Amino acid sequence: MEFFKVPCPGKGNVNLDGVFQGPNFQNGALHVFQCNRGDHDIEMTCLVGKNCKESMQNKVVKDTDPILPMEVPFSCLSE
Amino acid sequence: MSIRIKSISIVFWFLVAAGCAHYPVNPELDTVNLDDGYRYHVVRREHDPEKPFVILAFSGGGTRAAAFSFGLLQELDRIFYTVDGQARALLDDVEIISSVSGGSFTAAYYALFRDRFFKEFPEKMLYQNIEKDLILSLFNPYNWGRLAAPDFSRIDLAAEYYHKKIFQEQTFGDLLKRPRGSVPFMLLNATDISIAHRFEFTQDQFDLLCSDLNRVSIARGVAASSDFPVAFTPLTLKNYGMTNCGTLPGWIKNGLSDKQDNGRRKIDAKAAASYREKQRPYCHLLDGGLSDNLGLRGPYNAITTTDAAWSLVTQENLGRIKQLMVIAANAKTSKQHKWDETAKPPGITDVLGVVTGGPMDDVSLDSVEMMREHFENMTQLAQTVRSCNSLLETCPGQSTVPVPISSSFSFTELAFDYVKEPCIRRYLQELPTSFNLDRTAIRALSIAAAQLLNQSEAFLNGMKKLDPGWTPRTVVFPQDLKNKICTPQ
Repeated sequence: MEFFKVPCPGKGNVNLDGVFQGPNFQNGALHVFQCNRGDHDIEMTCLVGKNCKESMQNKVVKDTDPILPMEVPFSCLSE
Repeated sequence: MSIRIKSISIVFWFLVAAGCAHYPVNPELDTVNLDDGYRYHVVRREHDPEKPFVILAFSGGGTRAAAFSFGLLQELDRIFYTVDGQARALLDDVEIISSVSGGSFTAAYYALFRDRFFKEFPEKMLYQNIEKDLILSLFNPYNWGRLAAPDFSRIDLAAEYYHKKIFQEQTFGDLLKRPRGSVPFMLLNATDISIAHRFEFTQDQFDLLCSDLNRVSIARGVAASSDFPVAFTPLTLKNYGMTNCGTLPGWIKNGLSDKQDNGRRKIDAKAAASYREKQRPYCHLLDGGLSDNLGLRGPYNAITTTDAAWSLVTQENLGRIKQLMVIAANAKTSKQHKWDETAKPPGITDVLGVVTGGPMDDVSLDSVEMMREHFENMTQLAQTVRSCNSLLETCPGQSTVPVPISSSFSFTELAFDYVKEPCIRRYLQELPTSFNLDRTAIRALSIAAAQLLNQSEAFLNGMKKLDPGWTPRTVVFPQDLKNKICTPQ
């Protein structure tokens, strides 16, 4: 199993290969997501009033661990 | 003159039958609609994380497997646990039943007729001599003509029989008429022989073929799942995949281009994408046991990847699972052979038995070990994060790290090898793979499933996490049954 999180100054929803995985923040902290090893399209949709600078990133998620998960950063810009 | 007219008449009807006979073609799907059709999230409600997510896997093995999995369901129906003073039935927590071959009869009948399953299923299926009925149908002159047709074969005849006699002419669309969440999501597993890959009867799989599963009979799914090689011909499906009914799921593109050492993902992606190739207007299915005789590969894919249509990794990311229980009813036999007592090599039947059954058993063993290892690894990872946090807590000003693995896991395999009483164990291990078993065998299989479940340490541990006060019941084989089984004939 592989682990990643999606740091972003704003809050948003995370999609993996087109499937909704939940919000990037949960209980006030960055949520650590799980996925299988390999190439994935990681997408973040910023909450109302913001736009994501990067719409989607294709990342190879491998050799991660739950203590220091891979970071896939996004930035939300005002509309 | 009369004989001549009769002969002409027979030939005429033979030709009519041959000309008209065609297997029921699976219909085309115009556009993929992810909110419709036989899919996990259409059949089930959003999972309540306070309840365990229970997956059952029913193996192949003819009526032996059907009766063994029936016994498991019967026992689950008796198991209640208490949370906050309220009793809950474990059977209500079953989300998924993944099945192969003989086990698919049980899974399908339960999914279709849950309210009358325990009363009806033994008479409708377990006690029936299906083998005899199928063989007799081959002697019906009407079927000679039909079987001579290029588009109708023995498996279609078997599917017709299952459709009328067992599954009461129900389709996958009929399953969607049940109240949402009232029955588990059923995965009938077959094998696509051109690509030697698992094929499941779900709309997610049929999306790849641009075909509508709603109008396909349950019987055809069960027939494909139990389509034993040589005894039956492969079951044919029409593939409309090149009609562009919708884009492929996102993971397939990534799986195909994956440069990691990721063989299984690439194979799965290639298999899924192959239905959209022009040179595949049809696909041919055989018994699910050829690719996975335990029905565990589908659940394993869902438990370990985000690629599956009903991925449990995604469910965990969404915080919907806290406890995952997998129970596999493995009706595998292990006959004692006397081949090595003489120099004479085993005969063709024995060799064929090894050729068809040996690889299946090996794959099943791998599936069990993969599932166990995954759960052990995940439990260890979660423990590592907790240990790290307990160290961090001793450091002033340090915050702890989140534990992403919130689920606890239990994997229970019920197999005849674990039956403690030697003569009963040997009796079960020697049962044939057929669609005709006597009532003694059916009864023994059903009791064995109940006993094995209650004696399983993994199951007990899983139940204790749910309800620390839960205790298993003692299941014993009645003396009259033991007398029948254990007394040498």
